[in-house]
Amino acid sequence: MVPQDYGFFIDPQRCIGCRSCVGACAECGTHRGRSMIHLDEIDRYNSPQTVPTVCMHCEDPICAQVCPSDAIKRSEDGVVHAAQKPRCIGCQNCELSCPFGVPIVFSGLEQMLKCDLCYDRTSVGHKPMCATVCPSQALLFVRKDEVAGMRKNKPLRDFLIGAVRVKTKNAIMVPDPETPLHLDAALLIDDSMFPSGGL
Amino acid sequence: MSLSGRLDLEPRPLIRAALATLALCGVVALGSRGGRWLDPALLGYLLATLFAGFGVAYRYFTWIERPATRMYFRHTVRTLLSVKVFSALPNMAVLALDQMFLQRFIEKRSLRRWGAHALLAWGCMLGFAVTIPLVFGWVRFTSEGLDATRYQAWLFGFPAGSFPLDSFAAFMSFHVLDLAAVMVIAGCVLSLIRRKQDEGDTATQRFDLDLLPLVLLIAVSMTGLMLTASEKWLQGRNFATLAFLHELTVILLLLGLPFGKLFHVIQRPAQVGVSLYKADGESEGRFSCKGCGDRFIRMNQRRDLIALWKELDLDGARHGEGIHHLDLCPRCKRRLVAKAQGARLHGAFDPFATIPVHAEPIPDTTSLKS
Amino acid sequence: MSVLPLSQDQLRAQFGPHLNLAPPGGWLSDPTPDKIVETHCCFCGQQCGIKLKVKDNKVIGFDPWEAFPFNQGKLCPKGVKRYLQGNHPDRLTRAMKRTEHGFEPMDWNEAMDRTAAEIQRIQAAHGKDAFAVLSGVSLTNEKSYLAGKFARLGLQTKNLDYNGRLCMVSAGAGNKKAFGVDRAANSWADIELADVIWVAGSNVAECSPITTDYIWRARDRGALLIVVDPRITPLARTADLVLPLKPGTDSALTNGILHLLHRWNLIDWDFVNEHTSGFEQTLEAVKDCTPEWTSRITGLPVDAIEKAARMWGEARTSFLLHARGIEHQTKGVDNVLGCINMVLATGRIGRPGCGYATITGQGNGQGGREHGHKCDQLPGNRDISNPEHRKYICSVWGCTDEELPGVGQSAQEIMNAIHAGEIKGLLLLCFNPLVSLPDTQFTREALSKLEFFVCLDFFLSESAQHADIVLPSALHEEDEGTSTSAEGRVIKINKAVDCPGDARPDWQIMVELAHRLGRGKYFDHFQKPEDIFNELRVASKGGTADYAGISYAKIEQQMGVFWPCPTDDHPGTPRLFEGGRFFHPDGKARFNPTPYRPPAEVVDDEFPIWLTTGRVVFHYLSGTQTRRIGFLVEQCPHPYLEIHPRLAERYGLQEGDAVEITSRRGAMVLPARVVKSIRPDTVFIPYHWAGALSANRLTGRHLDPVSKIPEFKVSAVRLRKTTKDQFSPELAELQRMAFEARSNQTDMPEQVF
Repeated sequence: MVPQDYGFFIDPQRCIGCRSCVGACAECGTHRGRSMIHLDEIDRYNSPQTVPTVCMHCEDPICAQVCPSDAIKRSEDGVVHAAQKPRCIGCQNCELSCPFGVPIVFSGLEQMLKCDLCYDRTSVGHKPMCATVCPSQALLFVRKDEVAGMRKNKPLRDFLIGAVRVKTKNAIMVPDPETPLHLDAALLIDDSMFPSGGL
Repeated sequence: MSLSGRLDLEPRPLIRAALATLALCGVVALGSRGGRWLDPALLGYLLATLFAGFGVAYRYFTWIERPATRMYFRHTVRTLLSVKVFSALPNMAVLALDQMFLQRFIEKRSLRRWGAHALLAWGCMLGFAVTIPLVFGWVRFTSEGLDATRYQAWLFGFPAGSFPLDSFAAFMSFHVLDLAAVMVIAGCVLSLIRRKQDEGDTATQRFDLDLLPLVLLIAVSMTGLMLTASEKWLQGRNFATLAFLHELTVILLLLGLPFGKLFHVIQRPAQVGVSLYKADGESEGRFSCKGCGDRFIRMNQRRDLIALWKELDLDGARHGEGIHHLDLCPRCKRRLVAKAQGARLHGAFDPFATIPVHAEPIPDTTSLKS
Repeated sequence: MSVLPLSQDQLRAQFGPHLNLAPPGGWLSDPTPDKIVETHCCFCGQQCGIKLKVKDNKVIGFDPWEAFPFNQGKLCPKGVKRYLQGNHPDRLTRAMKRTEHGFEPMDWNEAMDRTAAEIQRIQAAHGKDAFAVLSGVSLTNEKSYLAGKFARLGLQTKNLDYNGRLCMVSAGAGNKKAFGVDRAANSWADIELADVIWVAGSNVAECSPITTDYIWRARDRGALLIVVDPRITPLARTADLVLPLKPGTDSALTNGILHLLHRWNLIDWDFVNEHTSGFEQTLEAVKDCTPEWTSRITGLPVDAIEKAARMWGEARTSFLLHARGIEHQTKGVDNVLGCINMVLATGRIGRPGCGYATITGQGNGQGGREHGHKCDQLPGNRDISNPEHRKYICSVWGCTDEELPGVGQSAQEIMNAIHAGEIKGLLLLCFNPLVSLPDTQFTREALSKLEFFVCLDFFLSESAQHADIVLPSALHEEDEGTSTSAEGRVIKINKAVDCPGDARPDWQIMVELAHRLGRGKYFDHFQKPEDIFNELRVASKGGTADYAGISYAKIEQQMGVFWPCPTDDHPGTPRLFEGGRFFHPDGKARFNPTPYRPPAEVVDDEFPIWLTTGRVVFHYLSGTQTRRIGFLVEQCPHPYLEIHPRLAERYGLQEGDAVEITSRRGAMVLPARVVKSIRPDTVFIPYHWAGALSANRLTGRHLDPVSKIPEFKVSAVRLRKTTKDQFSPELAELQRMAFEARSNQTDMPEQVF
């Protein structure tokens, strides 16, 4: 059981792209050599910005809804677990459907693996490996009531994809969490994030 | 989910399961020549098997009615009903050998896991391959007339050869279940040891879901072995009690089949269907991500997932210009989160607004001396 | 003649670099450790706390050490994978001699005897100083101290220097001039309390990643961040103000800022009058440094300079951090002094939230530069030419003044002297000059001229390949000792595993060698690292870097002790200069005028592009360790040329194209990485590789006149587009290795993205 007064707060803005999280994820007792966190460059040509992605642990996970073998379960503490090994048949429905691009299907294993919040650690009171090592604390795992005192931005757990609302256990840090974060594909094509043709 | 929740039965799968059970009864009746060849001592097993058959069928039919499962089930059925069946069947046979029987994918997960699982799975397969025909009255052994040194085998009520009591064939026939039991016990024990050492499993496993099936399998196998021991070395001492215990554990195992972890035995063959589906999709080609242009999703899966999302009330997940969220590759979805957050933050502080140098044309670099 | 006995391919096949990809026994082995050792990371001056998991005398993994106050469990990727340097196929376990057929293992005693005999032969024929020692500051304080004593009393040579010469010396010299002491003025805790943070020439995110969080914590309180760097580093990307100046113009900027602070009267006159001297002359020196002048020199817009001066000048509290960007220059010391002038003028030092520090780069870059490891220094940061200081150390060591040599030559000067044939023999430990010194070709020539060259290392580094005798030494986790972090915090390195084979800690080798040289009376009493530390405490007593009150027990108990700590009951000194008390005899800090002068080499028609070099987060210094760790090589297998799209366009270069970079020293071919995050008139190459891939093939041997640091950060080069078949075999080999490391995983993720 992951303590309910703790939360995972993600601030991609802070990420320095060092991949500590990627290395450390593979070192956790549950993962043993397989990293389940993603670290992506946004657009290296335009900017050195990078983004770490862990599972957001949706309240009604789409990955579980699209799973043909009923292998993805959300435990009572809100953690969405990696596919159950006996059931997963490696179809990739979850990988392609996850709104945040989280699950990874290892084809040889016929198995989907994903961030499970380092269940072996968090269920006994430790932080997840990635959030423990993250040098910039772009990945922050602390008591929920501590965040306001630590960060200028506030946690948001509410996302919009077109008209679909996705609510999550993990949070992204924004200045105005009252409005859901609109994941609009236009942002991918739009270069206005890089004004003046520079960064 | 509680048991009462599970008992909230759905009509369509219920009817199908009932029909399937009736069909099974028919097959049993036919194979046992109208029940004449049923072994009275195994009647308890028969009833439990039929009941488990009903439960498994019900669970199976409920499962394939889930929209996501139906997506793949339909594809397989359609393949089997089309001309593709001729190329598909040999493929399926090879895949079934590799995935169901040899279970090579588990070997890739880890050799230890594969070793334990193979012992356990092959032991179970072997055990059921022997006991089911016996329970269904399809196979029986009797003493051959008055000759107490020979055994007569019967298949579907027809004589199928005889062999002397001290022959190798006889030894194998009587002890194949012991072999199966030893394999199962070894596999289960190895699994338990592995689970004990694996921090990940230790954290996530539950007794009822993950450990109970292993314990039950061990119990079944142990009581079975003890029956042999009782007969062989203890002159049949406690045989009746042991037989009762064995029957009890087997019935518990069978009744648990539809609910617990062991149901994956029924689900697993879907893996073969998925492999076919992927191969089909590969020949159809891949769709390019609308964010980065990488060819990432197989055409058939994109089509089916869009339909599936619609069924799941997720059809609203569309962006402008006809871009479905499924048209973005996982990496672009991840980049998108950061970009969306970045767009939000600009109101708070714009990291780029204060970098004027890059906005200015740089004079000829050759003249840039200090 | 120390020429290579085998081809590079043969050497690579035998000694690596090979990649260590997984813990001993593989990923699926039982991860339950026998014991867990609390120690520190070996890769960089922050010295993060880390727990190593040990099983069967092998390090099998790590655990974050969340209780250690500096990093609280945080680690960069080097720290996360540091444990893979152990149990490595390339590890040296036997003494070796170089023969015509390559390196051959030899008996330990024979190797030591031969080494002692060669030292004696060379010193008899050419004088004591003809044998030099080059050392490094990945060594513990104990080993650093011992290296100094060993060279002076064991070998009786004045020519000892260390690779901190390539790292910390500009900051050290500047700090001593201004403050009378060479240490970060504050612990990092004061960064969080600052209202404005000025980062000059430091890619904090990659070179000292844990510091990033301290800066962000201040920013979460509303602090402003100003970053001065020709590249938009990951931290600079989000800064409130970025000043991407031309390489080598840093002191022009600090002069310009001081000019504006004075013009706008943002000076803390009370502080300046009471606690400093030399302000008048310094103001005089910047009177012409108008924003327009500064803009012309630095290439920064006038309004950005003015904005920076306002942000800095008007703040209530502040912290200034700088690193190699400004220090690796022929005016490295001036750049440091310029920064200190900005700090002193505003009086924001020695108080909570008011601070200044250089971010030490090497593992023990701080402690290793304090106790006689430098050519002009004695323990406790004493001066080897000061008679008082000499007298005290002679009394501690029990030697006469005649026995104690004087000032020797600095690292690059020693290499120059080897090249010139003045120095004939070399003992090298913890140093890979073939990668880290500028002008690689020159260094290679020099090494091949040595009559005798003995090298102590745990892997056969590129430099060690030229050695006559190689002695296997200890990894960080194979010995205990102390080191001193960038903050000035003395911490304890704990032993996790034993040395394999004949390998042994460097201090044992030095003690043994001194004994064979007949100098055992000064060394034979060292039985364990703590014995050396206890002598170090006495030797440093009364010096500025005073360790007298620090003990192993105290370090463990307090999770580190900040020096100065003069007595047993002293708690240590996290913040220096409280109450405006500086370490000069008059208690005042010194302003120092830093009139601007251009870099030693400037761009011209022939070499029209600025080149700057630096680190990436995945590698450490000359890469001897990190280029052998699979994960790190996967992330960054080889160097590349960072180039702005507009400059790339001029040469018709696209991402991945081959480009030949030529300077007055040499040329190399690298793939282009086209990014908007660098000045369009500047290119960047990371420096961690050897041979054809060594960025230092291009850099020059121009030294700062005071600190003798080479100008790694400024060179002039020209570019030429070429074809990919011009890539060196080394590059292709590294690409292959990284590819194999990735694809050797049996369980590749399905390719969907």
